[in-house]
This record gives sequence, C-alpha cells and structure tokens, in this order.
Amino acid sequence: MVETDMKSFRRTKILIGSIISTMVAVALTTGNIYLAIVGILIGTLFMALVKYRSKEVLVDERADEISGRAARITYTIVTVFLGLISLFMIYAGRLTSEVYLESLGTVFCYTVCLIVAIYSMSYKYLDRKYSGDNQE
Amino acid sequence: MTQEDLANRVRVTRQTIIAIEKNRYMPSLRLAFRIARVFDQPIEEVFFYEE
Repeated sequence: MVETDMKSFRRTKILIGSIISTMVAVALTTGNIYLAIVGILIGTLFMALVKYRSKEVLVDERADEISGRAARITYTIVTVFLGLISLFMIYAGRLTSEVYLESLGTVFCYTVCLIVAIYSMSYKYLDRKYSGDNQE
Repeated sequence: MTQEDLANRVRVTRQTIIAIEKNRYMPSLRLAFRIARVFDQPIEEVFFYEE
C-alpha cells in the first residue's frame, strides 16, 4: 500500500512535470507568456496539493541532507560558471564594441551577485536559527 | 519487522532505513533514539560507532 502510494506520487510528479514543460514549450513557441505563467502556477499548486494530501513520508532527514548538498554543489557551479561567463562577455563586449554582449554580461554579473546575496542571507538566517544563541 | 514497518514507525522513507543498514547514511541522534525505542533497546545496543 505504502509502495503503491510512493509509486503513484512519483507518477503524478512526472505527469505534472510533463504538462508544465509542454505548456511552457507551447507558450514559448506561440510567444504567449501568460500561458507559461498559468501553467507553472497551476502545476505548482497541484503539486503542493498532492504533497499535502499524501499520507506517506516523502521527505525525511536524509532527503534534506541530500538536497542541501545538491543545492551547495549547484550554487558553487552556477556562481563560478556564470561569473566567469559574465566577465568574459563584458570583456569581449568592450573589445569588440558589442553593446548587447556587454549588457548581457552585466545582467549575468548582477544575477551572480543576487544569488550570492540570497545564499548569504539564507545561510545567516539558518545559522542563527540553529545555533541556539537565540534561546538564551 | 520489515524495513517498511520500521520506516513508518520512525517516520522516514524506506530508502533511509536501507541506507542506514548498509552503513551509507549516519542517522541523526533523534532518529537513532527513535529506532532504538522501536526495538525497546538502549541506543548503544542498536548503533555502534567506530573511529
């Protein structure tokens, strides 16, 4: 019974993911941004509902640890890669006088700054929350 | 008791129980105490720590 619940949850997750991907793809092809937004919103809502109604344990401490490590690896790769790409784009844009290239590089650069800022803030918040200092 | 029964009683997934059994995951103290409580044993009877 439990295994069936888990399997049906996984199937539902894949189905919802496929529907969202299809909707976003159609939206991109037709140039309809509202369709993409509606698709993502409905998919997220439906997924939250399925999680809420499920009686099975879907996330435990091991899953939390794994997602934490995966998030850290993703953060490191994305910030380093995007940072280097943005530097290259800004430099290349200035050399070739390509305004668009430099602008895109600047956007990437600010995106990296935003990611680093969000990471630092959430790290500080969680560090404070789990340090025990606030309980004294 | 099956892995599924134990997982349900300590509120984790079956994969976590399998990982603990295969020594691939070290449970938190809270989970270790819960598992020991299910077997009605002291924690040191269920888990061993080797340097």
